Amino acid sequence: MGVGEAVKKIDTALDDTFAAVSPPLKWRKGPAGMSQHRNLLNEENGEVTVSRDCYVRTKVSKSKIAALAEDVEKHWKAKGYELESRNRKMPSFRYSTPEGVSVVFDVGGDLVTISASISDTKSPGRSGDIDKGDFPHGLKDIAPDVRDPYWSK
Amino acid sequence: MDMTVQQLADLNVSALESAKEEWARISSSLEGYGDRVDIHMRRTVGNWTGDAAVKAHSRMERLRNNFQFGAQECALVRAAIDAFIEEIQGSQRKMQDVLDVAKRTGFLVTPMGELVDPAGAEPPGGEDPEAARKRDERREELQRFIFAVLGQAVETDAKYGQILSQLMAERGLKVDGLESQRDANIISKVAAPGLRLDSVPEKGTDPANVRDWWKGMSEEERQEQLALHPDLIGNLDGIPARTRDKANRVNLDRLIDMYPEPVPDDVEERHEGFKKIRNRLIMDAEEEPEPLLLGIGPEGQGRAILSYGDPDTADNVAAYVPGLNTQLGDVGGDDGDRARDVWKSAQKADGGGHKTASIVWLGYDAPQAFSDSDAGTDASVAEEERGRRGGRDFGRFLDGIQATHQGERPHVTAIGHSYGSFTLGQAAQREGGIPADDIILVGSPGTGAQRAEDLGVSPDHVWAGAADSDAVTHAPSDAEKIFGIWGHMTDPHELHFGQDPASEDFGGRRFAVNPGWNPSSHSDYFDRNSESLRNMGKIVSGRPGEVTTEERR
Repeated sequence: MGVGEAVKKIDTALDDTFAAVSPPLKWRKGPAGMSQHRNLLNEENGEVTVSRDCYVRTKVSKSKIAALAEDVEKHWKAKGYELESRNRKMPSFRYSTPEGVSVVFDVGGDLVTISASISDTKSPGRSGDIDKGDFPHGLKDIAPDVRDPYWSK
Repeated sequence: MDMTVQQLADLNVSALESAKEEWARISSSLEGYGDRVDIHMRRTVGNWTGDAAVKAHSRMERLRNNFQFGAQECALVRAAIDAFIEEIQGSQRKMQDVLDVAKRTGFLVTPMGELVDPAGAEPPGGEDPEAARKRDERREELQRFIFAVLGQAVETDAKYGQILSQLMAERGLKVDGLESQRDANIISKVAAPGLRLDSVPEKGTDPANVRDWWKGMSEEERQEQLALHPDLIGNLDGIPARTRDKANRVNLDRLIDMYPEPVPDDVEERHEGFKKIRNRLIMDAEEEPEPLLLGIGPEGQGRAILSYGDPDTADNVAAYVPGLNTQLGDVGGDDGDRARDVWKSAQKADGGGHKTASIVWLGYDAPQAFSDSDAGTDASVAEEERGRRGGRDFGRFLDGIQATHQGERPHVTAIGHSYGSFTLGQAAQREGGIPADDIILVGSPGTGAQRAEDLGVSPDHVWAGAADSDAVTHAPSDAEKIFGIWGHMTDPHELHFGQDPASEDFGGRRFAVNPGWNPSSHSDYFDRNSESLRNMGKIVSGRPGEVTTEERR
C-alpha cells in the first residue's frame, strides 16, 4: 500500500469515528506523518507507519469523558474493530480495524485525542510529515478551546 | 600618518559608537533577510524538481548565503570598531594623564607632542643647576611617554584600517561560510585581546562556570563573542540554547562550505549529514515546535545536537541518545523525527499545558556495524569506550541544561535507545549521577549497571521498554556466548552490557510497548501512535501514574 492510500484509510477511520459522536465534537486534524521501520542495523526496511492524531477542540468535562469514551468504544465494537489494549488507569484504549488500521482513544490532561495509524505502508524513502492537517504552523495551541452546552457541562 | 596630540584628544568616540550600533542593526536586518529567503522562498519550493528547479535552488541558496555572509561581516565590522574604540580610548586616557602631569609641572606641549619648559628660557644662576637638570630629565621622560602614546594611537589606527579593508567584498558578491570564518579569524586575532574576548572557557569546563562567565559579560560583549568565536560558543555546555543555535547555524554553513562539491569520498557521509540537518532547519523553521541546533561539529563521525523546543524555558526536557549505526544524517532524518515525535507525544499526554523541549543528542561516535550478524555482537558494538566517552559528554550536556535553565528546575528525562542506552547508563553511573528525574531505556542491550538504583535516580523512575521480539534486548552476555545454555542458566537476565533493564532483578519499571516483529521491533519504540511512544510522552510530561506497564522478565 502506498502512503496516499494509507492516509485515506486512516482519515476514513477517524472521520467515521467523529461522525458517530453525538452531539458532534469540534476537532482538528493534526499532521499526517510517517515513521520509518528499521532493522537491527538501523537500516530502513522499506516500510513506514502512517498516522494522524486528531485533537478535540471541544472542552469535555471530567464527568463526560467516560460517556464520550463509551460512545466511541461502542461505535468501534459495532464496526467489528478488535480491542488491542486498554489503559486501566484512565479512559484510553486501542482497537484495530479489519483493514489493519490501529485506532486509539486517549486523554491527556483536558485534551482528548483520537489517533489512527497503519503500519505496513511502502516507504517513499523518508520519514516526517506528509501534510500539515489543520495546523499550518505546527502544533500550536492544541488545548481545547470550544465550549459545548452538553460536553462541557 | 602623523597624529597630533590635539587630534588624539579630540577624537569623537561617540560618533564611532553610533556607527557601531548601525553596523549591528544592519547585521541583524541581513540575518533576517537570510531567514526570510529560507522560510518564504526556499521552503515553499522545497519539493520542486527538474533542471529549472536546480538552477533556482542554487540561486536562492546563493542569495541566502550572501545575506548570511553580509550579516556576519557587519557583526565583525562592529566588533572591530568596538575594539578600536577600546584601544584608542586607552591611548586618550594615557595621553590625558601625562598632559595633566606636564601641566602641573609647568611644561607646555606642542601639537606634535614636544614638551617645552618655559622656565628653561630663564638665565641660569637663578636656580640650582642640579634641580634644573632633574627638571629637564623629567621633561624628557614625559615627552618620551607622549611620543609612545601617540605612536601607539597611530599604530592602532593603521591596524584597524588594515583589517577593515580586508573585509571588503568584490563586486558580484559570491561568498561562502569559509570566507566569513577567515575574516572572523583576522578580526579575532587583532580585536579579541583589546576587548578581553580571548578567554573563552575550554570545552569540558564545568557548565555552571561557563554560565557565570557568559552572564558576567555585557550584552555587547556577548554579541562580539558570538561574531568572533561561534565555533567555541555554539558547542559549549552552559551557554544559553538560543545563543548556541545562532552560533551553530553559522558553524553549520562553514562545515558545509568546507568541501566544495564533489566532496572527497572520506568526508562525503558527514558532508551529506550536515546538509540534511540544514535542510531540516529550513523545513521546520517558524513552526511549533521550533528547532534549535545546540551542537554541531566535525569531530569523529560528526556531532549534532538538535532540540525541538527551547530547553532553557521548557517545563519538561527530554534528551535522547541514539545507538548503533546512527550517523550524522539521521539527526536530519529519522532521529530528528523521533525527537519531534517525543515532543508531540509529551504535549499530547499533557494536553498542551506545559512547555516541552525534546532533544536528539549525537555528541559521540555511535558504533558502526556492517552486517546483521554484527548487530549486538560485533566488536565495534561491544567496544565500551565509545559509550564511556559519550556518557561523560552526555552527562556534562545535561549539567548544561540545568545551568542555563530559567526559572524553576525542569523535569528532565534522559532516553537511550539500543547502544545509546549503554551510553546513557555510563553517564548515569558517574559520580553524583546525572541531573535527570526519569531514565528511559528502550531496546537496551544493558547499561553497564546491574541494578536500576545504580543509575542515580529512584528505581521507580527507571523505565525499560523492551519488546519480546526485539533481539537486542536479549543480546547474549559473554558467559552465554562462551558457555551457551550453561552460561545463560548462570544468570538468564545478564545481557551484553549487564543486567536486562526489563528484568525483575534489575528493579526498574517496564512499560508496555507494541509486541512488533523482529527485526523492526528494535526501532518501533518511536513509531507514531505506538504504545511505547505514548508511554514515553507520559513519562516525559511527568505523568508516571498514567503509564501502561508490562510484567518484568
